[in-house]
Amino acid sequence: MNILVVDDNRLSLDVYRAAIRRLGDHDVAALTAPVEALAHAGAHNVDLLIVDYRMPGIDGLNFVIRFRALPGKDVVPIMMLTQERDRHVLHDVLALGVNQFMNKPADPVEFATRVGNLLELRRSRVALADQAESLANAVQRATAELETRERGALALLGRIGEYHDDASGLHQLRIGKYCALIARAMGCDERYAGDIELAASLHDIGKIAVPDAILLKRGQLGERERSVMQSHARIGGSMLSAYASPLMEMAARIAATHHERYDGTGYPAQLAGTSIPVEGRICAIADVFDAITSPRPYKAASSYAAGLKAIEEGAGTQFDPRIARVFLGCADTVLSIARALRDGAETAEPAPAA
Amino acid sequence: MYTNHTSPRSGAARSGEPAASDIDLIQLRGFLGTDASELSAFLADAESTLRLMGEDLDGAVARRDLETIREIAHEASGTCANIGAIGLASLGRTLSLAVKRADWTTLQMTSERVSAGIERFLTFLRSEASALR
Repeated sequence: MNILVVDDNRLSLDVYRAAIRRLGDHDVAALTAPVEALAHAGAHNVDLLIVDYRMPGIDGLNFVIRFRALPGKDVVPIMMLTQERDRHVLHDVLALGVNQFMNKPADPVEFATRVGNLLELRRSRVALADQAESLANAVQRATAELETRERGALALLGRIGEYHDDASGLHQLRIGKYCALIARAMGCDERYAGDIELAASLHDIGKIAVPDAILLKRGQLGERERSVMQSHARIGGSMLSAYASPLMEMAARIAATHHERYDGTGYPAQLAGTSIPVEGRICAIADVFDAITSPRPYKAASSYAAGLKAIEEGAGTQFDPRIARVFLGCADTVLSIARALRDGAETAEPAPAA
Repeated sequence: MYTNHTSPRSGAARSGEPAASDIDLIQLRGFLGTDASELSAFLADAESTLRLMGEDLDGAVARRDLETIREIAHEASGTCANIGAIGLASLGRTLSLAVKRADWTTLQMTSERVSAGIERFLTFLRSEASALR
Protein backbone atom coordinates (compact mmCIF):
# COMPACT_ATOMS: atom_id res chain seq x y z
CA MET A 1 0.00 0.00 0.00
CA ASN A 2 1.10 3.59 -0.59
CA ILE A 3 1.13 5.71 2.54
CA LEU A 4 1.67 9.45 2.61
CA VAL A 5 2.81 10.92 5.93
CA VAL A 6 2.91 14.69 6.32
CA ASP A 7 4.38 16.39 9.39
CA ASP A 8 6.55 19.47 9.46
CA ASN A 9 8.73 17.81 12.12
CA ARG A 10 11.30 15.40 10.70
CA LEU A 11 11.59 13.40 13.94
CA SER A 12 7.88 12.67 14.09
CA LEU A 13 8.04 11.55 10.47
CA ASP A 14 10.92 9.23 11.33
CA VAL A 15 9.08 7.45 14.11
CA TYR A 16 5.83 7.17 12.15
CA ARG A 17 7.67 5.77 9.14
CA ALA A 18 9.57 3.25 11.24
CA ALA A 19 6.35 2.04 12.86
CA ILE A 20 4.57 1.74 9.50
CA ARG A 21 7.43 -0.23 7.95
CA ARG A 22 7.09 -2.86 10.61
CA LEU A 23 3.45 -3.33 9.60
CA GLY A 24 4.36 -4.68 6.18
CA ASP A 25 5.91 -3.99 2.84
CA HIS A 26 4.42 -0.55 2.34
CA ASP A 27 5.71 2.37 0.31
CA VAL A 28 5.94 5.32 2.67
CA ALA A 29 6.34 8.87 1.41
CA ALA A 30 7.22 11.01 4.44
CA LEU A 31 7.23 14.71 3.67
CA THR A 32 7.68 17.80 5.85
CA ALA A 33 6.32 20.37 3.35
CA PRO A 34 2.52 20.34 2.90
CA VAL A 35 2.71 21.88 -0.57
CA GLU A 36 5.17 19.25 -1.71
CA ALA A 37 2.95 16.57 -0.15
CA LEU A 38 -0.09 17.79 -2.08
CA ALA A 39 1.92 17.70 -5.31
CA HIS A 40 2.99 14.15 -4.45
CA ALA A 41 -0.63 13.16 -3.75
CA GLY A 42 -1.69 14.65 -7.08
CA ALA A 43 0.84 12.57 -8.96
CA HIS A 44 0.74 9.27 -7.04
CA ASN A 45 -1.68 6.71 -5.76
CA VAL A 46 -2.27 7.15 -2.03
CA ASP A 47 -3.94 4.44 0.06
CA LEU A 48 -3.62 6.17 3.43
CA LEU A 49 -2.87 9.74 4.48
CA ILE A 50 -1.40 10.49 7.90
CA VAL A 51 -1.21 14.22 8.49
CA ASP A 52 -0.27 16.57 11.28
CA TYR A 53 -2.84 19.17 12.28
CA ARG A 54 -0.51 22.05 12.97
CA MET A 55 1.81 22.83 10.08
CA PRO A 56 3.22 26.06 8.67
CA GLY A 57 1.68 27.38 5.44
CA ILE A 58 -1.18 24.92 5.06
CA ASP A 59 -2.66 23.59 8.29
CA GLY A 60 -4.07 20.09 8.58
CA LEU A 61 -7.67 21.13 7.90
CA ASN A 62 -6.84 22.96 4.69
CA PHE A 63 -4.53 20.15 3.69
CA VAL A 64 -7.37 17.64 4.02
CA ILE A 65 -9.75 19.86 2.03
CA ARG A 66 -7.22 20.15 -0.81
CA PHE A 67 -6.31 16.48 -0.63
CA ARG A 68 -9.95 15.38 -0.83
CA ALA A 69 -10.41 17.59 -3.91
CA LEU A 70 -7.72 15.69 -5.80
CA PRO A 71 -8.94 13.06 -8.31
CA GLY A 72 -9.48 9.68 -6.68
CA LYS A 73 -8.71 10.94 -3.17
CA ASP A 74 -12.27 11.37 -1.95
CA VAL A 75 -12.41 8.02 -0.16
CA VAL A 76 -8.78 7.57 0.87
CA PRO A 77 -8.63 6.95 4.65
CA ILE A 78 -7.08 9.78 6.63
CA MET A 79 -5.60 9.85 10.12
CA MET A 80 -4.78 13.18 11.71
CA LEU A 81 -2.40 13.71 14.62
CA THR A 82 -2.44 16.77 16.80
CA GLN A 83 -1.59 18.17 20.17
CA GLU A 84 -4.85 20.12 20.12
CA ARG A 85 -7.34 19.07 22.76
CA ASP A 86 -10.02 21.52 21.60
CA ARG A 87 -13.29 19.70 20.97
CA HIS A 88 -14.18 22.09 18.12
CA VAL A 89 -10.99 21.13 16.32
CA LEU A 90 -11.93 17.47 16.65
CA HIS A 91 -15.41 18.15 15.28
CA ASP A 92 -14.06 20.18 12.36
CA VAL A 93 -11.62 17.43 11.51
CA LEU A 94 -14.25 14.70 11.63
CA ALA A 95 -16.66 16.81 9.58
CA LEU A 96 -14.07 16.88 6.80
CA GLY A 97 -14.14 13.11 6.56
CA VAL A 98 -11.01 12.37 8.55
CA ASN A 99 -11.35 8.75 9.66
CA GLN A 100 -9.09 8.70 12.70
CA PHE A 101 -7.94 11.39 15.08
CA MET A 102 -4.99 10.82 17.43
CA ASN A 103 -3.56 13.11 20.04
CA LYS A 104 0.19 13.58 20.44
CA PRO A 105 2.10 12.02 21.96
CA ALA A 106 0.86 9.11 19.92
CA ASP A 107 1.09 5.76 21.62
CA PRO A 108 3.10 3.53 19.26
CA VAL A 109 0.91 0.46 19.74
CA GLU A 110 -2.27 2.45 19.27
CA PHE A 111 -0.74 4.20 16.26
CA ALA A 112 0.22 0.92 14.61
CA THR A 113 -3.18 -0.60 15.34
CA ARG A 114 -5.05 2.36 13.92
CA VAL A 115 -2.85 2.45 10.81
CA GLY A 116 -3.39 -1.28 10.35
CA ASN A 117 -7.15 -0.82 10.65
CA LEU A 118 -7.19 2.00 8.14
CA LEU A 119 -5.13 -0.03 5.68
CA GLU A 120 -7.58 -2.89 6.08
CA LEU A 121 -10.43 -0.45 5.45
CA ARG A 122 -8.65 0.71 2.32
CA ARG A 123 -8.09 -2.85 1.11
CA SER A 124 -11.76 -3.63 1.60
CA ARG A 125 -12.83 -0.51 -0.25
CA VAL A 126 -10.47 -1.21 -3.14
CA ALA A 127 -11.66 -4.82 -3.33
CA LEU A 128 -15.27 -3.64 -3.28
CA ALA A 129 -14.57 -1.07 -5.99
CA ASP A 130 -12.80 -3.68 -8.11
CA GLN A 131 -15.72 -6.02 -7.68
CA ALA A 132 -18.19 -3.26 -8.60
CA GLU A 133 -16.13 -2.38 -11.67
CA SER A 134 -15.94 -6.00 -12.69
CA LEU A 135 -19.70 -6.35 -12.31
CA ALA A 136 -20.28 -3.13 -14.21
CA ASN A 137 -18.07 -4.39 -17.03
CA ALA A 138 -19.95 -7.68 -17.12
CA VAL A 139 -23.27 -5.85 -17.23
CA GLN A 140 -21.95 -3.56 -19.96
CA ARG A 141 -20.80 -6.54 -22.03
CA ALA A 142 -24.12 -8.32 -21.54
CA THR A 143 -26.03 -5.16 -22.43
CA ALA A 144 -23.95 -4.65 -25.56
CA GLU A 145 -24.59 -8.24 -26.56
CA LEU A 146 -28.32 -7.82 -26.01
CA GLU A 147 -28.29 -4.62 -28.02
CA THR A 148 -26.48 -6.34 -30.86
CA ARG A 149 -29.02 -9.14 -30.84
CA GLU A 150 -31.90 -6.69 -30.63
CA ARG A 151 -30.54 -4.73 -33.56
CA GLY A 152 -30.10 -7.91 -35.56
CA ALA A 153 -33.67 -8.95 -34.79
CA LEU A 154 -34.96 -5.51 -35.74
CA ALA A 155 -33.12 -5.54 -39.04
CA LEU A 156 -34.56 -8.97 -39.78
CA LEU A 157 -38.07 -7.82 -38.91
CA GLY A 158 -37.67 -4.89 -41.23
CA ARG A 159 -36.69 -7.19 -44.09
CA ILE A 160 -39.69 -9.43 -43.38
CA GLY A 161 -42.03 -6.47 -43.34
CA GLU A 162 -40.84 -5.23 -46.70
CA TYR A 163 -40.50 -8.61 -48.36
CA HIS A 164 -43.89 -8.52 -50.06
CA ASP A 165 -43.18 -5.45 -52.15
CA ASP A 166 -39.42 -4.92 -51.77
CA ALA A 167 -37.48 -8.17 -51.74
CA SER A 168 -34.21 -6.30 -52.02
CA GLY A 169 -34.81 -4.47 -48.73
CA LEU A 170 -33.38 -1.30 -50.23
CA HIS A 171 -36.41 0.85 -49.40
CA GLN A 172 -36.01 0.25 -45.68
CA LEU A 173 -32.26 0.85 -45.92
CA ARG A 174 -32.76 4.19 -47.70
CA ILE A 175 -35.41 5.32 -45.24
CA GLY A 176 -33.05 4.51 -42.36
CA LYS A 177 -30.17 6.38 -44.00
CA TYR A 178 -32.31 9.45 -44.75
CA CYS A 179 -33.62 9.54 -41.18
CA ALA A 180 -30.13 9.22 -39.71
CA LEU A 181 -28.92 11.97 -42.05
CA ILE A 182 -31.71 14.31 -40.93
CA ALA A 183 -31.10 13.49 -37.25
CA ARG A 184 -27.40 14.31 -37.54
CA ALA A 185 -28.15 17.53 -39.40
CA MET A 186 -30.56 18.47 -36.59
CA GLY A 187 -27.71 18.09 -34.10
CA CYS A 188 -28.67 14.72 -32.62
CA ASP A 189 -25.83 12.54 -31.38
CA GLU A 190 -24.51 9.44 -33.14
CA ARG A 191 -26.30 7.12 -30.76
CA TYR A 192 -29.66 8.66 -31.65
CA ALA A 193 -28.81 8.72 -35.36
CA GLY A 194 -27.92 5.02 -35.24
CA ASP A 195 -31.12 4.21 -33.37
CA ILE A 196 -33.41 6.08 -35.74
CA GLU A 197 -31.67 4.53 -38.75
CA LEU A 198 -32.58 1.08 -37.50
CA ALA A 199 -35.95 1.95 -35.98
CA ALA A 200 -37.12 3.71 -39.17
CA SER A 201 -36.44 0.58 -41.20
CA LEU A 202 -39.46 -0.93 -39.42
CA HIS A 203 -41.80 1.90 -40.31
CA ASP A 204 -43.93 -0.28 -42.61
CA ILE A 205 -43.83 -3.49 -40.54
CA GLY A 206 -47.63 -3.28 -40.21
CA LYS A 207 -47.94 -4.06 -43.94
CA ILE A 208 -47.51 -7.68 -42.94
CA ALA A 209 -51.20 -7.51 -42.05
CA VAL A 210 -52.21 -6.04 -45.42
CA PRO A 211 -53.33 -8.63 -48.00
CA ASP A 212 -51.12 -8.93 -51.08
CA ALA A 213 -54.16 -8.19 -53.24
CA ILE A 214 -54.18 -4.69 -51.81
CA LEU A 215 -50.48 -4.24 -51.15
CA LEU A 216 -49.42 -5.22 -54.68
CA LYS A 217 -52.44 -3.94 -56.52
CA ARG A 218 -51.70 -2.10 -59.73
CA GLY A 219 -53.86 0.98 -60.05
CA GLN A 220 -55.85 3.08 -57.61
CA LEU A 221 -57.11 1.57 -54.37
CA GLY A 222 -60.76 1.71 -53.54
CA GLU A 223 -61.98 3.41 -50.37
CA ARG A 224 -62.13 0.19 -48.35
CA GLU A 225 -58.81 -0.97 -49.74
CA ARG A 226 -57.25 2.35 -48.84
CA SER A 227 -58.64 1.98 -45.33
CA VAL A 228 -57.06 -1.46 -45.04
CA MET A 229 -53.80 -0.16 -46.42
CA GLN A 230 -53.80 2.75 -43.96
CA SER A 231 -54.34 0.36 -41.06
CA HIS A 232 -50.69 -0.71 -41.41
CA ALA A 233 -49.57 2.31 -39.37
CA ARG A 234 -51.76 1.49 -36.40
CA ILE A 235 -51.00 -2.23 -36.63
CA GLY A 236 -47.26 -1.63 -36.93
CA GLY A 237 -47.23 0.69 -33.91
CA SER A 238 -49.24 -1.82 -31.92
CA MET A 239 -47.00 -4.75 -32.89
CA LEU A 240 -43.78 -3.00 -32.00
CA SER A 241 -45.02 -1.47 -28.75
CA ALA A 242 -45.51 -4.98 -27.39
CA TYR A 243 -41.75 -5.21 -26.89
CA ALA A 244 -40.34 -2.92 -24.22
CA SER A 245 -36.99 -1.44 -25.16
CA PRO A 246 -36.02 2.14 -26.00
CA LEU A 247 -35.13 1.16 -29.57
CA MET A 248 -38.36 -0.77 -30.10
CA GLU A 249 -40.38 2.04 -28.54
CA MET A 250 -38.84 4.46 -31.04
CA ALA A 251 -39.65 2.02 -33.84
CA ALA A 252 -43.24 1.82 -32.58
CA ARG A 253 -43.56 5.63 -32.56
CA ILE A 254 -42.26 5.79 -36.13
CA ALA A 255 -44.50 2.99 -37.39
CA ALA A 256 -47.56 4.55 -35.78
CA THR A 257 -46.97 8.16 -36.85
CA HIS A 258 -45.03 8.30 -40.11
CA HIS A 259 -48.25 8.93 -42.04
CA GLU A 260 -49.43 11.71 -39.74
CA ARG A 261 -49.34 15.16 -41.30
CA TYR A 262 -48.10 18.34 -39.69
CA ASP A 263 -51.46 20.03 -40.35
CA GLY A 264 -53.35 17.24 -38.58
CA THR A 265 -54.95 15.64 -41.65
CA GLY A 266 -52.86 12.47 -41.72
CA TYR A 267 -53.57 9.03 -40.30
CA PRO A 268 -54.16 7.04 -38.17
CA ALA A 269 -54.64 9.51 -35.27
CA GLN A 270 -54.75 12.91 -37.03
CA LEU A 271 -51.99 14.22 -34.78
CA ALA A 272 -50.72 17.69 -35.63
CA GLY A 273 -47.54 19.75 -35.20
CA THR A 274 -45.19 18.73 -32.44
CA SER A 275 -47.72 16.34 -30.95
CA ILE A 276 -46.39 14.01 -33.67
CA PRO A 277 -43.23 12.40 -32.25
CA VAL A 278 -40.15 13.92 -33.86
CA GLU A 279 -39.09 10.52 -35.23
CA GLY A 280 -42.46 10.27 -37.00
CA ARG A 281 -42.02 13.75 -38.49
CA ILE A 282 -38.53 12.84 -39.70
CA CYS A 283 -39.62 9.53 -41.20
CA ALA A 284 -42.61 11.10 -42.93
CA ILE A 285 -40.26 13.21 -45.05
CA ALA A 286 -37.90 10.32 -45.78
CA ASP A 287 -40.79 8.01 -46.69
CA VAL A 288 -42.52 10.44 -49.04
CA PHE A 289 -39.27 11.35 -50.80
CA ASP A 290 -38.46 7.69 -51.26
CA ALA A 291 -42.00 6.81 -52.39
CA ILE A 292 -41.90 9.51 -55.06
CA THR A 293 -38.45 8.61 -56.35
CA SER A 294 -38.95 4.82 -56.30
CA PRO A 295 -41.03 2.64 -58.64
CA ARG A 296 -44.20 1.06 -57.28
CA PRO A 297 -46.47 -1.62 -58.79
CA TYR A 298 -48.87 1.13 -59.70
CA LYS A 299 -46.39 3.83 -60.84
CA ALA A 300 -42.96 4.53 -62.21
CA ALA A 301 -40.28 6.36 -60.25
CA SER A 302 -40.28 10.14 -60.45
CA SER A 303 -37.14 12.23 -60.56
CA TYR A 304 -35.14 13.23 -57.52
CA ALA A 305 -35.98 16.82 -58.35
CA ALA A 306 -39.67 15.94 -58.14
CA GLY A 307 -39.05 14.29 -54.77
CA LEU A 308 -37.27 17.33 -53.36
CA LYS A 309 -39.94 19.64 -54.78
CA ALA A 310 -42.65 17.61 -53.06
CA ILE A 311 -40.89 18.02 -49.72
CA GLU A 312 -40.49 21.73 -50.27
CA GLU A 313 -44.15 22.14 -51.21
CA GLY A 314 -45.32 20.04 -48.27
CA ALA A 315 -43.33 22.00 -45.66
CA GLY A 316 -45.73 23.44 -43.08
CA THR A 317 -48.72 21.34 -44.26
CA GLN A 318 -47.68 17.73 -44.68
CA PHE A 319 -44.26 18.09 -43.07
CA ASP A 320 -42.64 19.86 -40.13
CA PRO A 321 -41.20 22.93 -41.91
CA ARG A 322 -38.06 22.98 -39.78
CA ILE A 323 -37.24 19.34 -40.52
CA ALA A 324 -38.12 19.83 -44.20
CA ARG A 325 -35.57 22.67 -44.36
CA VAL A 326 -32.96 20.44 -42.76
CA PHE A 327 -33.71 17.68 -45.30
CA LEU A 328 -33.51 20.04 -48.25
CA GLY A 329 -30.26 21.46 -46.82
CA CYS A 330 -28.77 17.97 -47.10
CA ALA A 331 -30.02 17.41 -50.67
CA ASP A 332 -26.60 16.46 -52.02
CA THR A 333 -26.15 13.73 -49.44
CA VAL A 334 -29.76 12.60 -49.86
CA LEU A 335 -29.16 12.09 -53.56
CA SER A 336 -25.89 10.26 -52.91
CA ILE A 337 -27.76 7.82 -50.67
CA ALA A 338 -30.57 7.46 -53.21
CA ARG A 339 -28.11 6.66 -56.00
CA ALA A 340 -26.03 4.28 -53.94
CA LEU A 341 -29.09 2.31 -52.81
CA ARG A 342 -31.26 2.63 -55.90
CA ASP A 343 -33.60 -0.25 -56.73
CA GLY A 344 -32.27 -0.73 -60.24
CA ALA A 345 -30.69 1.05 -63.14
CA GLU A 346 -34.06 2.00 -64.49
CA THR A 347 -34.97 3.66 -61.20
CA ALA A 348 -32.25 6.22 -61.15
CA GLU A 349 -32.62 9.39 -63.02
CA PRO A 350 -30.15 12.18 -63.40
CA ALA A 351 -29.71 14.14 -60.23
CA PRO A 352 -31.62 17.37 -60.18
CA ALA A 353 -29.66 20.54 -60.65
CA ALA A 354 -28.69 22.23 -57.42
CA MET B 1 19.56 -4.95 20.59
CA TYR B 2 18.83 -2.17 22.95
CA THR B 3 20.56 -1.96 26.31
CA ASN B 4 18.83 -3.28 29.34
CA HIS B 5 16.63 -0.25 29.84
CA THR B 6 13.50 -2.32 30.16
CA SER B 7 11.42 0.43 31.65
CA PRO B 8 11.58 4.16 31.12
CA ARG B 9 11.45 4.88 34.75
CA SER B 10 13.36 1.96 36.21
CA GLY B 11 16.98 1.87 37.25
CA ALA B 12 19.44 4.65 38.00
CA ALA B 13 20.98 6.65 35.20
CA ARG B 14 24.54 5.71 34.46
CA SER B 15 27.22 8.33 34.47
CA GLY B 16 26.99 10.65 31.42
CA GLU B 17 23.51 9.38 30.50
CA PRO B 18 20.20 11.13 30.99
CA ALA B 19 18.17 10.42 34.05
CA ALA B 20 15.78 7.54 33.43
CA SER B 21 12.87 9.90 33.83
CA ASP B 22 14.11 11.93 30.84
CA ILE B 23 13.33 9.22 28.34
CA ASP B 24 10.31 7.04 27.75
CA LEU B 25 11.95 3.95 26.34
CA ILE B 26 8.67 2.19 25.67
CA GLN B 27 7.61 5.12 23.53
CA LEU B 28 10.90 5.34 21.66
CA ARG B 29 11.32 1.61 21.13
CA GLY B 30 7.64 1.21 20.37
CA PHE B 31 8.06 3.43 17.37
CA LEU B 32 11.61 2.70 16.23
CA GLY B 33 11.74 -1.00 17.03
CA THR B 34 15.13 -2.70 17.11
CA ASP B 35 16.30 -1.94 13.62
CA ALA B 36 19.77 -0.39 13.69
CA SER B 37 19.32 1.46 10.42
CA GLU B 38 16.09 3.06 11.62
CA LEU B 39 17.77 4.23 14.79
CA SER B 40 20.80 5.54 12.90
CA ALA B 41 18.60 7.53 10.54
CA PHE B 42 16.64 8.82 13.47
CA LEU B 43 19.83 9.80 15.30
CA ALA B 44 21.07 11.74 12.28
CA ASP B 45 17.79 13.66 12.03
CA ALA B 46 17.71 14.19 15.81
CA GLU B 47 21.22 15.66 15.77
CA SER B 48 20.22 18.32 13.28
CA THR B 49 16.58 18.92 14.27
CA LEU B 50 17.01 19.12 18.03
CA ARG B 51 20.20 21.18 17.87
CA LEU B 52 18.50 23.62 15.50
CA MET B 53 15.56 23.81 17.86
CA GLY B 54 17.91 24.58 20.74
CA GLU B 55 19.70 27.29 18.77
CA ASP B 56 16.40 28.83 17.67
CA LEU B 57 15.24 28.85 21.27
CA ASP B 58 18.43 30.50 22.50
CA GLY B 59 18.16 33.14 19.79
CA ALA B 60 14.49 33.81 20.51
CA VAL B 61 15.18 34.18 24.24
CA ALA B 62 18.07 36.54 23.50
CA ARG B 63 15.77 38.59 21.22
CA ARG B 64 12.95 38.34 23.74
CA ASP B 65 10.76 36.99 20.93
CA LEU B 66 7.83 35.47 22.80
CA GLU B 67 5.96 34.32 19.70
CA THR B 68 8.90 32.25 18.46
CA ILE B 69 9.48 30.84 21.93
CA ARG B 70 5.81 29.86 22.09
CA GLU B 71 6.08 28.05 18.75
CA ILE B 72 9.23 26.20 19.81
CA ALA B 73 7.71 25.30 23.17
CA HIS B 74 4.65 23.86 21.41
CA GLU B 75 6.84 21.89 19.04
CA ALA B 76 9.06 20.63 21.84
CA SER B 77 6.23 19.47 24.04
CA GLY B 78 4.50 17.62 21.19
CA THR B 79 7.30 16.18 19.13
CA CYS B 80 9.60 15.35 22.02
CA ALA B 81 6.85 13.46 23.80
CA ASN B 82 6.17 11.61 20.56
CA ILE B 83 9.76 10.39 20.33
CA GLY B 84 10.07 9.50 23.99
CA ALA B 85 12.11 12.56 25.02
CA ILE B 86 9.80 13.23 27.91
CA GLY B 87 12.32 15.40 29.76
CA LEU B 88 12.46 17.78 26.81
CA ALA B 89 8.70 17.60 26.44
CA SER B 90 8.33 18.63 30.06
CA LEU B 91 10.69 21.55 29.53
CA GLY B 92 8.56 22.53 26.54
CA ARG B 93 5.52 22.74 28.76
CA THR B 94 7.48 24.79 31.28
CA LEU B 95 8.42 27.17 28.48
CA SER B 96 4.78 27.45 27.39
CA LEU B 97 3.70 28.44 30.89
CA ALA B 98 6.56 30.93 31.20
CA VAL B 99 5.62 32.48 27.85
CA LYS B 100 2.10 33.10 29.11
CA ARG B 101 3.50 34.90 32.14
CA ALA B 102 6.34 36.54 30.14
CA ASP B 103 8.57 35.15 32.88
CA TRP B 104 11.97 35.89 31.40
CA THR B 105 13.92 34.45 34.32
CA THR B 106 12.27 31.06 33.86
CA LEU B 107 12.56 31.29 30.10
CA GLN B 108 16.29 31.97 30.33
CA MET B 109 16.88 29.13 32.80
CA THR B 110 14.68 26.68 30.91
CA SER B 111 16.36 27.53 27.63
CA GLU B 112 19.69 26.49 29.13
CA ARG B 113 18.14 23.29 30.50
CA VAL B 114 16.72 22.52 27.06
CA SER B 115 20.18 22.74 25.48
CA ALA B 116 21.58 20.39 28.11
CA GLY B 117 18.59 18.07 27.74
CA ILE B 118 19.09 17.89 24.00
CA GLU B 119 22.70 16.85 24.45
CA ARG B 120 21.72 14.20 26.99
CA PHE B 121 19.08 12.80 24.69
CA LEU B 122 21.51 12.68 21.77
CA THR B 123 24.12 10.99 23.93
CA PHE B 124 21.55 8.39 24.88
CA LEU B 125 20.60 7.81 21.26
CA ARG B 126 24.23 7.40 20.26
CA SER B 127 24.75 4.79 22.97
CA GLU B 128 21.62 2.94 21.83
CA ALA B 129 22.76 3.05 18.23
CA SER B 130 26.16 1.65 19.04
CA ALA B 131 24.58 -1.09 21.15
CA LEU B 132 22.45 -2.14 18.21
CA ARG B 133 25.41 -2.40 15.80
